Amino acid sequence: MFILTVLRDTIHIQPYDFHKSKYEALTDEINRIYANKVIQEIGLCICLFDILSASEEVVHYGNGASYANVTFRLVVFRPFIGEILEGTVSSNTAEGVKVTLGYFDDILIPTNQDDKWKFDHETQVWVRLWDNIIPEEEWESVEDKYLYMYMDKDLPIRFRVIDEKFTDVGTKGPPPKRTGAVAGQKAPMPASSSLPSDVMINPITTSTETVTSSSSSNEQNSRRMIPGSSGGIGGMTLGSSSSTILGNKLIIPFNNTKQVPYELIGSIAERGLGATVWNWS
Amino acid sequence: MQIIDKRNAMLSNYEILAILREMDDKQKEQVKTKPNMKFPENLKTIQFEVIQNLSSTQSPASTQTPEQIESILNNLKKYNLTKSEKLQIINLRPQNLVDLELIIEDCEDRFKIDALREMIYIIGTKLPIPGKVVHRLESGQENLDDDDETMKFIHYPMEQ
Repeated sequence: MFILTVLRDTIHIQPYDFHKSKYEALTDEINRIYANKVIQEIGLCICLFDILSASEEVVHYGNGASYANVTFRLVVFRPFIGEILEGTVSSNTAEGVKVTLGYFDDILIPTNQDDKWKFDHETQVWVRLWDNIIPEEEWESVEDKYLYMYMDKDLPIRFRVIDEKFTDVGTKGPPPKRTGAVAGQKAPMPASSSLPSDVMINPITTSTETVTSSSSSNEQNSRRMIPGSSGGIGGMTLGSSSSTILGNKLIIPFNNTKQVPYELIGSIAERGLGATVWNWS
Repeated sequence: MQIIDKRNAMLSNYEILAILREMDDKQKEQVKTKPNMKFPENLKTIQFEVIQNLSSTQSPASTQTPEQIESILNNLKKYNLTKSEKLQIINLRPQNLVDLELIIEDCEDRFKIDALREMIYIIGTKLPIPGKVVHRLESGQENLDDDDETMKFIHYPMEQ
């Protein structure tokens, strides 16, 4: 799950940190810059492991900070393809089941890979079908052909990583403020792997009613409306969107999937994978 | 920023937990001398989340020690497992053949079933779950003592 990567970077140490030892100052600065950030093709950085070498510190004119070339090792979260992981189900979306590990939310188990997935409209969850090994004669109804594994929220689940995707979404602002001279100020939100998103709903009919809700300033979602007769699209919940009824049409806003910098694709299509606690009877 | 080596080493979950706990202790020491000290929010967030995930009761990392990891690596040497297989065994602590088959590639071709049972026994004794008794698996019999089973419905009585 976790690996070490060796990086080299130029680290600035501000004058108010000069009282710290060189190792301590560099460690704090590297942790401040890299913790909880995704680096493309590397993974989610957790923290500094150790410093391998650091050059002499140089002070440039115009700025009191000292600059050092540092080679260091970071602890990075990056499961390899084929690794087995254990997480918990966070939600059921149109594409499949979203799984979270607490510190990493962007894991998707797509449900269109084989035909052993069903969507249960009553409980709004995906259901995995497993062949029932009890022989055919003892089935009580035709439903007994399969055993049903409901992907309820907070279900502990074991899955295999089958793919990973890095997308460059650009940076989301500066790292949090240095805490030396400005302790007490609230730090801006760092670029973490997932943020809550709000959706703005725009009516497309000629109704004079206006429906607005606040949208997160960090998101740049493009929204499309799919009008349909009520009940036509069924009870599917589509990720973080909500539906409204205007006039006599059920309008379900369709959110273009938010781009995440690092995403894992999983699968539970093997014996031994799936829920780790399962009441099947 | 230059990337010098993408995959320099692989670490087990236990080692990550140890590193983060050590960092946490150091931070607590610093707060004692300077009560107003604030640490970067992203660092605290990731630290808290990872420690919480790895020290939960389901996670094997919460009960491991360096001695256990050393002893299991010594005992598994004779099987010539790949690095990733050994790492996953430490991280996931498989308790039965189904779990072991997921981790080991081509395990039917590489190992006889007795060797696999032996491995389960080694894992059970060298990476113990506190309070769990380990039996050597006899041929034809799967480990019956498991509480967290996925598909052992063979042994459940039929509900009428």
